[in-house]
Amino acid sequence: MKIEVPPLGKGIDKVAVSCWYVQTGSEIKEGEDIVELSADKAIFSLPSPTTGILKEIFIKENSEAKIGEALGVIE
Amino acid sequence: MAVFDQSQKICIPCKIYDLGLIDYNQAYRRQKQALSGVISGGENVLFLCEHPAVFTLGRLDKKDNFSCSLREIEKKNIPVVPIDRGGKITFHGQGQLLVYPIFDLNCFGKDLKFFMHQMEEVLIDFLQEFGIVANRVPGHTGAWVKDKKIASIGIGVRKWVSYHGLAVNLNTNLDSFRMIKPCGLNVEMTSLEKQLGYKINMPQAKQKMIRCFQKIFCLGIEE
Repeated sequence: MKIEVPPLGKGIDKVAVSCWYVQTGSEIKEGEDIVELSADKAIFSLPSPTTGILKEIFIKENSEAKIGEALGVIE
Repeated sequence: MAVFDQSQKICIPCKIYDLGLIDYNQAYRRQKQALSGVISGGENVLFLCEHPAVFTLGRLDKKDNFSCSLREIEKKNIPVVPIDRGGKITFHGQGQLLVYPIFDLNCFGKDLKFFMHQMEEVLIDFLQEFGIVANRVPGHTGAWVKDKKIASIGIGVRKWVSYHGLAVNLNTNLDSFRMIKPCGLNVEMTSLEKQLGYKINMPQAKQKMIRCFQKIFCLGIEE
């Protein structure tokens, strides 16, 4: 399952990845915070959509992502 | 769950806590406790307080926004605390009013831009109570008096519940801001005292701030 940037409100069309809380290969539970996103003067902790292993990170720290874009994948 | 709707005048329940003058890290621990409570379905919380002198570094700060050397900072004995909020570096000190809304943003449409816009609205309303005309500056969240910054905003959000919040300079000693580029900007900071020429009564200011939050966010207040 892909980890996607959720809608954060009107007028926010991209975010920066400020911090991944976990590494690839880590076991993750659904609802556990896995990555921190920043937009304007807000930081947003994104929870995992499912339980599994973080297989791959597509968007690294200090990179930007659009709303809806896949940040990584959990299997 | 009550949902924000100004036209329907539905009140969103909120408890208010005045923490007085409190160490930054201690206030942060109180915020995290309240955050867990609201995430678990508890009432929204609004903290008001002042802090002893401290510099805080938001997530976007690359530690390159000091205008002086670290030695000078150490001489002043002002701690530097990296923290999990948006934005860059700022200064907190006595005479500055901090407000930390621990709000379930599911009540406010899960819209970060709207939430921060409303916090700016609170600030503009609050300053108007003192006869100060404040404005927004596109791209620079906060409250401004013409080209001088009078209040800053920086938040964190976990499970769609907010923490951290806003800081407005009432009687703040502005000298410490000269040691940094506030929010990463070459900007002059101002305060209500500087604008009006007299010291602001903090307890009265807190009551005005609570009323502004109550009005803008349609809160049903429990103190």
